[in-house]
Amino acid sequence: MIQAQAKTTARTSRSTIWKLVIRYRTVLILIVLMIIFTLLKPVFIRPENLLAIGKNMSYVLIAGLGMTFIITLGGLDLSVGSIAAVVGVGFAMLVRGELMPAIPALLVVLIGALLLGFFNGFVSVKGKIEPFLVTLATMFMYRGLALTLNTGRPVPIVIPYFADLFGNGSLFNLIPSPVIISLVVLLVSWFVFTKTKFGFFVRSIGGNPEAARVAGINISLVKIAAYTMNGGYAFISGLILAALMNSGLADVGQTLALDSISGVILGGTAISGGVGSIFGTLGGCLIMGTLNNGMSLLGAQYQVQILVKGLVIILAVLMDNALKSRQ
Amino acid sequence: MGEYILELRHISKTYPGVVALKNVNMGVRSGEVHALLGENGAGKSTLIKILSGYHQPDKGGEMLIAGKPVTFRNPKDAMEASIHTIYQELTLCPQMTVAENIVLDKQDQFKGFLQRRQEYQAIAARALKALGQSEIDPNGLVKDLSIAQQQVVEIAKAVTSNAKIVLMDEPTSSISQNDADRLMDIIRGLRGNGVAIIYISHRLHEIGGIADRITVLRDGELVGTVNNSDVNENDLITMMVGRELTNVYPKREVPIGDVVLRVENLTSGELLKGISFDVHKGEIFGIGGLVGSRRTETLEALFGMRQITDGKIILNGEEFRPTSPRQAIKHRIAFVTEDRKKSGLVLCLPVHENINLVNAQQPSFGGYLNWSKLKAVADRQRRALNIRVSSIEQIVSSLSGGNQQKVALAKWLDFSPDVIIFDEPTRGIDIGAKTEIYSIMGELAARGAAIVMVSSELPELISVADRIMVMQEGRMKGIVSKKEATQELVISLATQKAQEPSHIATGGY
Repeated sequence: MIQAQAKTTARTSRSTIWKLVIRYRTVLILIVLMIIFTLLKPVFIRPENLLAIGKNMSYVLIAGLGMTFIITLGGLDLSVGSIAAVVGVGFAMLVRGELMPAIPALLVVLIGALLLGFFNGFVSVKGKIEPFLVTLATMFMYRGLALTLNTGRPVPIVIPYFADLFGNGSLFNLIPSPVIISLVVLLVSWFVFTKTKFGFFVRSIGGNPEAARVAGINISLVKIAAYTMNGGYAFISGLILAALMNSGLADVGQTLALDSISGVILGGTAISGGVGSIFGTLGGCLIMGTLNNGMSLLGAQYQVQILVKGLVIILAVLMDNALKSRQ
Repeated sequence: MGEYILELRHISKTYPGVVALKNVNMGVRSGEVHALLGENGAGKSTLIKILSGYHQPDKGGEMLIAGKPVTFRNPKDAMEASIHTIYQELTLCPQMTVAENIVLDKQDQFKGFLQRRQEYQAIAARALKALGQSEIDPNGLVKDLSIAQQQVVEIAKAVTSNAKIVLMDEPTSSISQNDADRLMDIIRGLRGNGVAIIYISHRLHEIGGIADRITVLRDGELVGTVNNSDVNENDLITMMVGRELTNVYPKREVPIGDVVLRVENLTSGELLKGISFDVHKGEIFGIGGLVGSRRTETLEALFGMRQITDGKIILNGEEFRPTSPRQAIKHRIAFVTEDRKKSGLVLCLPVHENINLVNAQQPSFGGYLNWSKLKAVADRQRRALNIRVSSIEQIVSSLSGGNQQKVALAKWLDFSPDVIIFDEPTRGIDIGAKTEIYSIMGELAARGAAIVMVSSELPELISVADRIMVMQEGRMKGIVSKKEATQELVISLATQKAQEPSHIATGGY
C-alpha cells in the first residue's frame, strides 16, 4: 500500500519534472551551450562578450519577434530582409544632402515599411494566396526596390549621431544601444502578444481560423494588421543594420528572414500556428547568437558555423517532438 | 470454426469520454453480402475503422480471419489480411491513370525500378473486363471518370489484390439510381466469386434488395444479426430505433413567448428552397432530416455563412440579412456548430481563452485585455455549465468530448444571445454529458432564448424539441408539433420520395 503510494508520488514528481523540462527546453539548451563554450573558452562568459552576442543578434531578434506573431498566425514572411534593406537605403538617401531632417525622414521610411508589410497582408488575404508565396515574391520585389533606389551603390549616412543611437553606441559605455532597443521591443511585443486583443486573436486564428470566424473575429483585419506590423519590425531591424554599417546598403539582410524564422522555431513556436512564445523567441535567437559567437571564439569558420546551426535546428525540433510525444 | 471468413468476438472501442463500441460479436461468411445497419452514432464508422486497421479495438476483443486471430496495427496490415475498404470519399489519385491507380497498392509485386506500363494496363484491363466494365479506359485519367466509374476502379483495385472481404461504406450515397443498379450487379458478381461483402448503407430498400444477412448496431451495441429473408423494412427500423422511449430527455416546461425569429421563404441558390418557420421565445425548435437534407446549410444561412438569394429573416421584428458571423453575433445570435473540433474550439488554447473568444471582442481601452477579469468570467461559466477541468488554464484538446462541447457552448453565453443555434449538440459525447446539455438547453430556453436545434438522433429531436421541421434536399417537408411527433412520422417525412429522381446523398436514420 505504502509502496504503491510512493510509486505514484515518484511518478507524479517525474511527470512534473518533465513538464518543467518541456516548458523551459529553450533555456536548458541555451544554458548547456553556454557551459560548453565557457569550459572550452573561458572568455566566452565575460560580460563584454555576452553583450556582444546581444548586439550581434539584436536585429535578428527584432525580426524574430515580429515573425513570432506571423508564425503563430499560421503564416510566414520571407520579405523582412528586403524591407530592412529598403529602410536602410531609403533613410540614407532621404537625409543625404539634407533632403529632409532626420525625424521626418524616419517617419517617411517607417510609413514606407508599414506599407510594404501591408501589401504582403493585403495581397495574401484578398487574393487568397499562401503568405509563403506572396512574401517569396515580395522578397524579390522589395530587394529590387532597394537596389533601384541608389542603383545598388552604398549610401553613407551623414547624420553623426545616427550610428551611435541605433548601432555602435552604448549606454554607460557598457550596454550597446541595439541591446537596449531589442529589450524595449521585446517587452512591447510580449505585452501585445499576451495582454491585448490583437495577440489573443492572432493565437486564436492561428489555432483554428474556422472557429475564429464563427466566433465573429475579423480574420482579414487581424491578418493584414499583423503583416503591416511586421513591416514595422523590419523597419527597426533595418535601422540597426544601417547604423551598424553607418550606411544604407541594398544587399543587407539577405538571411534575416530565415535566421529569424530559425530563432522562432528554436523558441518552440509551432510552425503550424496557434502556439507561440515571445520569450521563447528570445531564447531561440540567443541560442543562435551563442552558437555563432562561441564557434567564432573557437576559431571555427563561417562554413562550419552554418553547418552546426542547421544541425542544431534539426536536433531542437527532434527533441521538441520527442518531448511532446512523452507528454 | 470454419464457418466464417471474418469473425469479431467481444470487440469494444473506447475513446476518451465515449464508448463507441461495446462487446460486439459478428460473423461474415464468404460469398455473402452482409449489411451493417444503424443510426448515426451507432458505431458503424468505428467498426469500419477497426476492420480497415485505422483504429485498434480495446484489449479483450478478438478478430479472426478464416479462423485465425489477427491484429491490425495499420491499414496495410488489414489489406494484407485481404480486407479491402471502399470509403464513401473515394481514395483514388485523380491525376493518375486508371491502371496506375489499380496497381498503386501492389508495387511490391513488381520487380525493378522502372514502371511497367504494359503490365499495369494488362492487369487493369483484365480486372475491368471481369467486372463487365470494359468501357473504362485503363489509360484514362481518374479525374475524367464519373463517381460511379471511380467506384468501379476502387472495386477493381480490391479484386486485383485478391481481397476476400470487401467493405463498402455508403457506396450509393452519391451516384444515380442507374449507376446504383449497375453497382448491385457488380456486387452480386463478387458474391458469386466467393467474396464476402460488408455493405454499409442507410437505404433500407437497397439493403432489402442486396443483402443476405443484416447486422444492426445501436448505441455501440449489437442488436442482432438477422437473415434478410426473415425481416421487412419495419422490423429493421424497429431494431435500429427500438429503444425505450421513456422520457430520458425531459425539456423543462417553459412558457412559450412571442416570435423572436421568423424565416420567410429562405432561399440560397440551388441549396435551399423556400424555407419558412418561426421560433418563439422559450421554444426549442428542432430541424430533422436525413444526411444531405441541408439542415446545416439552413443554420449557416441564418448565421451569415451562406448567401441568401431570396426570402427574409425577421429578427425581433426587424428584417435582417446577415453576411458574416460577425454580423449575426452583433444581432445576438449564437451558433454552436456541428463539429466542435473543426469550427467550435481552438484546440491548442486553454479553456478560459476559448470561453472568452467572443467576449474578448467587446470594445476595450487600447485593446488591452484584463485577463484576470476574463478568467473570472470563464470560471463563472465553468461552474454554471459544470465543465470538469483540473484548471481553467487546461488546454482544451485534453478534455473529454462532453466537456469540450460545454466549452464550445460556454463562449456564447456571456452576452445572453436571443437566438441560440445548435447543430448536433450531443454528437460524440456520452449519455451523462448529453443529459447535462439538454438541461442547459432547457435552462437557456427558460431564460428567454429562442433555440434552433438540428439533430440526427430521432429520440433526441422528438423529446427535446417543442416543434420539428423536417427537411429533404434543401426543402421543408413539414412541421410537426411535439404531440404528433413520432419517430415513424419524422422518418416518413424525411424519406418521402421527392418529385425528381434523387441523386443526392441520403442516410441518417
